[in-house]
Amino acid sequence: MIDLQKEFIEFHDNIKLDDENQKLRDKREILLKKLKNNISDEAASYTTFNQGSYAMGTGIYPEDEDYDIDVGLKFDINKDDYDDAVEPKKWVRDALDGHTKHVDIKRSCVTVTYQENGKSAYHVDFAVYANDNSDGKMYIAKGKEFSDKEYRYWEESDPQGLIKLIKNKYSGDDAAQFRRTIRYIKKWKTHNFSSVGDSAPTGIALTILAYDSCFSVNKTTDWATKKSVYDDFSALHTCIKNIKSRFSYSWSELAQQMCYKISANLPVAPYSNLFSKMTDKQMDELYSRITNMLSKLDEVKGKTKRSEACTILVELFGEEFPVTVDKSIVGTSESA
Amino acid sequence: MRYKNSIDNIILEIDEQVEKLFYTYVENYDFAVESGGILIGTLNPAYNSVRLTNITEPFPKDIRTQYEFKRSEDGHQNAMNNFWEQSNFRKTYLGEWHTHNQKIPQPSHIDIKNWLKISKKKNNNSEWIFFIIIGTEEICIWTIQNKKIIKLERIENY
Ligand SMILES: [Zn+2]
Repeated sequence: MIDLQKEFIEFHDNIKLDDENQKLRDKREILLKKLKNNISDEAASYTTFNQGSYAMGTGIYPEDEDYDIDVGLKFDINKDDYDDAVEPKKWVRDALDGHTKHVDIKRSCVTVTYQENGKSAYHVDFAVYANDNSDGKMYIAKGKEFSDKEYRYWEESDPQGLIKLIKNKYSGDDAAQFRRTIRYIKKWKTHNFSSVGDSAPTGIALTILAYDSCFSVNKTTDWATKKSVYDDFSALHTCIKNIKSRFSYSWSELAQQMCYKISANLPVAPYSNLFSKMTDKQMDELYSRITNMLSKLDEVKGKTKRSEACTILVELFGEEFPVTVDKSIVGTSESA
Repeated sequence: MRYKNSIDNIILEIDEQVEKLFYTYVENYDFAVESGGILIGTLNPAYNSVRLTNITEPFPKDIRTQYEFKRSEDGHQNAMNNFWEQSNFRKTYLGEWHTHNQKIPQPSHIDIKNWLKISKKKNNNSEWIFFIIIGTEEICIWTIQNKKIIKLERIENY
């Protein structure tokens, strides 16, 4: 097939969003400063860390959604001293309130939303943790302000362990191909699912599928230069093929039909199934879209014209994928 | 300037510098000899559009008389290669243009035969090949679809 590595690398440069991004860093720093200055004296001391896809090196520019910045706040508290897990979240909310119109206590974080031109442009999610527990583990504060008591609780969580696992799975250039492949799949998701509702898999669910044996490094050694030559198309193709085979076909009580279903557990506490929020029908729909993607990738394999191969990839990933062409043969022309 | 093929809504966007160049031919038309060249641009499948970014103008080896323009490969192929390389391999051959001594240009039989032949070429990168005739008052654009010649409509107010 056509060598599309240059195109894939350019595509990756177009979509990748990492912690180096100044705009995102600025937003984060402003809020952290605000938090530091305004947090009440009642509040415990804390340290901060970056979490989420930027910290993992798998972030991409959003398509229609807003930018999502994830910050972890580790409070030096023992969860057993805070029967109400929402209490430390209120410290954060109250310190940041007034800065913008929207500061909300959500189930798993405190979210600050920035508006631009009447719609949400950024949001910063502060996850609140208790980090001075008798068992030495870290716990995240779950629940909203007015949730029933059973929905306000501490849950074991290890976001930094997760980042470490993802970052240390491969090293050097192999790790770079791993991260690129995750970004390609996330971009496909962003381009092919609407941002509303839970019908799309989460970015972390796709990341864990790749991490958990769907991805394998695809490279060959150039015998002349002895350098590794990476083949991102093949790495992606294999990864999608493996994701497809992770689905199992079984009866769904809820949908009253046969459905393709998938599960993948977080490799750190709380070891939850990352597809648990999708219904059987939604997973079945995901399966058919994965199948469609695989057949499009097969189509790309069969193309001999660069423009046609790129056109299919634009359809899969959006306009960020470059459309290159083969050398043109202009011939002659006769007009009268 | 934007043009649309109303059948499958393919949009041809013409860069301002190309449009200006076309209008210098409209304004300076002297009825002595015909001019022509190739159309060069990029493909934008995400928007179902093609962008015309450059054209070539007559080269010495082209045959130019009062009623015909026979474009040779010389010069045009080289220019095309340069645009291709300089654009990171994005720019491609998109078709042909030539002048007519007509207010509102109409393709001749020779033009039509030529266009059908060019559109059939297997090595075209673009699914759509465009043909432009510069008249003494108007510029008209056609494309070929299923062996039929289709005139593009100008999209106003863009
Ligand atoms: Zn003619």
